[in-house]
Amino acid sequence: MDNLVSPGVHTPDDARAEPAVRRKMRLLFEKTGPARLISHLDLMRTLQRAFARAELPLAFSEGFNPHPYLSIARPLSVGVESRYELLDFGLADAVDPDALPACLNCVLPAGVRVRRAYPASEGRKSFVDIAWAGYEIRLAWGRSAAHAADGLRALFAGGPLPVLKKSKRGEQTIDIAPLIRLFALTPEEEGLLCMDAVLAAGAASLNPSYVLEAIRRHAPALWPDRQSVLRVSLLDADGTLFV
Amino acid sequence: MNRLEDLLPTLRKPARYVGGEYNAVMKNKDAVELRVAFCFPDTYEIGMSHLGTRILYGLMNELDFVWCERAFAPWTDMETMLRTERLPLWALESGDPLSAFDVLAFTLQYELSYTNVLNMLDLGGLPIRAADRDDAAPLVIAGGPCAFNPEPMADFIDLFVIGEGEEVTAELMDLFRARRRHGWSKAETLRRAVLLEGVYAPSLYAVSYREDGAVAAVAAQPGAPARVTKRIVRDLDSVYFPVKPLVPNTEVVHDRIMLELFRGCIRGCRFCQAGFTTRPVRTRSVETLVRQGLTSLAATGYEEISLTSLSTSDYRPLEGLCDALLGECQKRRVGLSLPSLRADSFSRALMERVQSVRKSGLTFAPEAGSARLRDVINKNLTEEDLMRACGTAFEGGWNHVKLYFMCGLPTETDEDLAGIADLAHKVYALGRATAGRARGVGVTVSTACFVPKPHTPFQWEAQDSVAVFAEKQAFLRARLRKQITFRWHAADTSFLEGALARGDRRVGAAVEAAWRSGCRLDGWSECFSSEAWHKAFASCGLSLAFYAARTRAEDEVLPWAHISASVDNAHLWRERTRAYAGTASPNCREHCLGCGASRLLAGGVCDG
Repeated sequence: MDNLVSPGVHTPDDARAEPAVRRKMRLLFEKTGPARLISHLDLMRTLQRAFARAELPLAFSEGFNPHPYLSIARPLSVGVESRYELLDFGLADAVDPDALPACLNCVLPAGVRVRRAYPASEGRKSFVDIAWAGYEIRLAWGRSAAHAADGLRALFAGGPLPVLKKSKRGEQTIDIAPLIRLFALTPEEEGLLCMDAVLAAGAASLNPSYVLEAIRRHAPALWPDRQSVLRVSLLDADGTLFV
Repeated sequence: MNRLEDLLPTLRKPARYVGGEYNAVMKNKDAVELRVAFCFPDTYEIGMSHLGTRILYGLMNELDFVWCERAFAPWTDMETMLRTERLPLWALESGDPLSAFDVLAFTLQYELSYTNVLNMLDLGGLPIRAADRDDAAPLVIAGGPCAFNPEPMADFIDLFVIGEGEEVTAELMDLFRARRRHGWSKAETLRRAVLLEGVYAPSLYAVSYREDGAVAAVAAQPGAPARVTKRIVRDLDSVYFPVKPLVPNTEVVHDRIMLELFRGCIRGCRFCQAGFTTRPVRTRSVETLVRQGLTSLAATGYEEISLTSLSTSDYRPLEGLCDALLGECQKRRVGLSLPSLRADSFSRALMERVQSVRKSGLTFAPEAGSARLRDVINKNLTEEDLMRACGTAFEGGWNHVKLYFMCGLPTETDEDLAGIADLAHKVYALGRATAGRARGVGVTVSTACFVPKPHTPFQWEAQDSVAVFAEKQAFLRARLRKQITFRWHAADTSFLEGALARGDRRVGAAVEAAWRSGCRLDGWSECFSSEAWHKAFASCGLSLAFYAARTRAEDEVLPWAHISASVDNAHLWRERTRAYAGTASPNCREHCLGCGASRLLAGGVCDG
């Protein structure tokens, strides 16, 4: 009656009584369809609840206001789909990583799907080593896209591409050309082009929306009727897939 | 790729428009006989926080012949997009327009959501007036607390459900399925529907008015009941409860598991509509609640369980329930929250079982600043109770206490208002003395404007005018020290709420005029225009003041006289008389006052 303990969420004593065993693990997951509209903060909460539904106890930080250790690499803008999202997290118990995807996929909301889980390993690189991100940017016109392909190739041929970039310190014009590592154009079907772009995602980073902004600014005649962005990879400095 | 996919990310909080949440119910639309869209006439964040919506959504989807989906009021940017692109408002699960459904079921939680109902019908591609919707159009039904005075919405809604929805909703679904099978006309369907207890079809009633504007009579057509009595669920342990609730992908206001301990309230606060319309008191057992709580936890992964009811601390086995839940909660790092605790029952034992998010604040509602006025409204709470509760909270490590009051209560004087400031200062001083200088102590005074509501002892009262509310606000602000945070509910919003709450059938035209002039999302201060509403009323030859600020005589026919909450008018008038005499009444547990609600239990006894 009098010596009740309220839940650990609240009492530092409780957090101490339950030392957090940090088994750091990494998940590769997709975020597509309706899930592309889930914001970064909402996604963190969504994943946390999915872990709880799967009865996978997350490791919590210690202190007065314990929170689970969850970290997503290079959070996406709302509306961007991805086949290559990485989540680092800590589990309080040891779990077989091979069992994780199936375990989580049956409790995740539509559009969020785990592709694989990697065990904790000493040599695993941390997210600070991510330098580039690969995107498929699809452009669609209500008519043939033939007129646009040559123009877009010329636009992204490597010459300077000044774009107005908004940041916390206001707006400034920057040249985005050095932040584009690869650019290829593939016609997919009538009226649809796919741009494969590898964009900086390290200390200097380029949101794919600026690639679209460059088209709007420098080649307005090529502006598509529709566009969509899909992230397909995260890469380290030498261009190899970051896992 | 379609244009909509391009446009959605440009909207504020677009996740609320696409569904896809965990536990959302998906069915094959060709394999069901009845498609229902549960329409919540406010934003997703508000609607998804509402327990009743989750109950009825789950309950209808339990029926294999029904697929119930959800629709919410779009925010202004979404509405602009829909109208510009000529897209219809869709339901979240299938993405189909509202016009594709057999039934649209609205819940009326708040008078200021009425224009959202019209807006959703219009955006869904339907005529807003019931008379303009033919046999092929979806049937539009509505329930919820505001249905206890359905008259302002009578022109727009085909059928109202009065009271608790679980059982009558299932009965209506059977009826609507039969309609589809037999091809009944809408008129035939309404005639059959009103044979069900608690169902009201406004088109079967004619209202006449007196010279002075009051209602003269409400006449039912043959075959329709003269009075429609609310429905209740007798046994809360056996009634459906959603244990696999939806888990939103985007933050909503109350994002947690809600367990409903009991319905009704023993207290009889004279201003409180819910306290009268939800009678008699019926309770869920600890065993049922623990089972529902644990099942819901496993099915959602939520990090908080909220124990809800009108007055949680009046649940007799509350401590036992908390203890039964706490073990499992601690294992899963889940917190318990107990909203609506009464200050006279906030004990150390309870406090230790409570988890308030980040231990931010506790809320108590004295409602009035003097013992005299608390007796008038029958709050039955003493200053000592409040100080003891606040002391317990400050000692227990809380730094912030919120105090809720109402302003504009019947018989209120400057002395009562000054009492609000005195109480706040006493609580603040107590906090400083208890918590010392080491911690910052905060006291917030939050003042709502009193709105007289149907089916309460104050249903005959005149509401204060906006000008008087403004004077009272200034008076109180001048008396509150700057250390007290003062929040004040907008008076013009409350005045409109007052007019709509006690409106008659003619008010529907004003609601329509307001909507046509651009009013919607009226409950949101950034969207509300008092001026537009006054104009809308005037354009129909009506005034807000006639409905809000007029004292009714005891024998006046009230617009909701044909809707019964099973509490006798004689009881309400007796309570009003006692209010004016400054006399408190005992609560139901101390002494039954014979309000009439126990009749609904058919020989049973309320758990007063």
